[in-house]
Amino acid sequence: MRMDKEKRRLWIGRAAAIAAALLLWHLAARAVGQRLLLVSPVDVAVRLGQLVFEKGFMASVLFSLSRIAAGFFLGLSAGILLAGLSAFFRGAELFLWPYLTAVKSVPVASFIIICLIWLDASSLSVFISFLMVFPVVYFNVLQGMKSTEKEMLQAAGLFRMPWRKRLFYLYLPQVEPFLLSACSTALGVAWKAGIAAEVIGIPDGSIGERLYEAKIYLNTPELLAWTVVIVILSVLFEKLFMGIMRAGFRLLKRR
Amino acid sequence: MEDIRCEGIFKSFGGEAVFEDFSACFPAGRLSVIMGESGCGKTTLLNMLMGFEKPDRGKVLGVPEKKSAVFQEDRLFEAFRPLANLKAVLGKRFSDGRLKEELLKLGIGDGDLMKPVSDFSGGMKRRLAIARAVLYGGEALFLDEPFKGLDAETKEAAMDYVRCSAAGKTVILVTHDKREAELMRTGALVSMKKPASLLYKTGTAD
Repeated sequence: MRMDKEKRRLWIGRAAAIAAALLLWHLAARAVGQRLLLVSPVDVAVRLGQLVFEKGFMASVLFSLSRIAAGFFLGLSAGILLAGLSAFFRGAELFLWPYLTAVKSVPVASFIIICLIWLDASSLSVFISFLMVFPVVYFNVLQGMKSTEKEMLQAAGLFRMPWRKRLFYLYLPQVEPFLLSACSTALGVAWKAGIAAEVIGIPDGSIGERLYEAKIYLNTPELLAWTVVIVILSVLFEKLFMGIMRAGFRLLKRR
Repeated sequence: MEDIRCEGIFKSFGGEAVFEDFSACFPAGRLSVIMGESGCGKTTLLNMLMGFEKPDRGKVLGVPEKKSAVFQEDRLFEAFRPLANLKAVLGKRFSDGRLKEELLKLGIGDGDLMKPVSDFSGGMKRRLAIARAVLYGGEALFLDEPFKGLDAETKEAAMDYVRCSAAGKTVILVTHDKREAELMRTGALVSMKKPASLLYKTGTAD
C-alpha cells in the first residue's frame, strides 16, 4: 500500500518534470523564433502525427527495428556463450581480451566507416548493433559467473552435480542481475549505434535515411519527429524485452 | 568401509598454527563428535576431511569418494523452491511424494513448498540442508553445527531424523552443545582447544 503510494508519487513527479521540460522547450523555441534553429514541441507533435500516417512510415520502422533487433540478439547470444566459455577456460578469456578491449574502446563512428568498406549499407546496422551489444553482455555475464561463491562451487562438487545442473542452479541466479543490467544498457546502445550506422550508411528505406534527408533539407520538425519515433521504439522494445526476460527467469526458478 | 583418520596434521593460517601434529580416528559406521570453542579450527578440520582444504603436512585417510554434508552456511540454492533444491543434488532418485514426506518429518509442510528458499527462516533452511545431506546418501556424512538455530521441538525432530537416517554411516558432527554431543555420539569425541594445542580423545561411546 505504502509502496503504491510512493510509486504514484514518483510517477506524478516524473510527469510534472516532463511537462516542465516541454514547457521550457516551447518557451525557448518562441524566444528564438526561428523554426530552423529550434522548433517547438507542438510543431514536432504535429509533424509526428502526420508522419505515422504517411506511406513508408511502417516500412522504415520495420526495416530499422528488424536489423537493430537482429544485431542485439546476435550480440546477446555471442556475449552469453563466450562469457560462459571464458568463465570456465582462462585461455579463452585471455584470447578474447584484445578483441573485446578494442571493440569497447574504438569510437563507434570509426567502426561504422571501417565496416562500410566490408558490408553493404543494409546490413551495417545489424553488425554495428551486434558490436556494441556483445562486449556489454560479455563483460557483465563474465563478472556474474566469476562472482559465484567458492563455497557454493564446493557444495556442487561434493554433491557431484553435473555441469548442466550447476549452470541452472548455481550460475543462472548468479548471472541474472548482471544479465538484466547488461540487457538494459545494451538495448539503448544498440538503438543509438544502429541508427548512427544507418545515418552514415544511408540504406534505402531505413529510419537513418529519413533522418539524413531531414538534415539535408533542414527540416527540423521532421528530424525531431523521427527522433521521437526512435526513442519510443527503443523504450517499447526495452520494456517488452526486459519484461519477457524477467518473466522467463521467474518461470525457470519456479520449477 | 574404513575408519576416517587424520595423521600428523599441521595447518596454519597467516603464520598462526591451528593444528600441530594432530591425529584422530573417526570409526566407520559410527557418529563421532568434534567439540570446541569458536575459532579453534573445528570447521577447518571438517574442511580438510571433506577435501576442501589441504593440510600443510600430514594425511587424511579413509574418506570415501561419495560423501555428503550440512555446511555451516547452509549453501542452498536460495532462488529455488525446496523440492528443486533437493532434486538439484538427488536427481530423479526419489519421487516428489517421497521428498515431501521426508521434508514433513523435519516440519517443512506443503505450505512451505511453493516459496523460494530465500523466503525461509534460518531454521527452515537448516532443516532443508539436513534433508538434502541425509537423502543424498554416501558412506560419510559431515555435519557442521547442523542443529544451530533450531528451536527445542524441531531440534529434537532433526536429531531423530539424522540418527535414524544416518545409522550405519560414518558421521562426523561438529557442535558446541554438550547435550547434543551426548545424545548423538556413538563414536569418537574430539575436543579441541585454542590456540594451536589440541586436546583430543578418541574411542567409542559404548
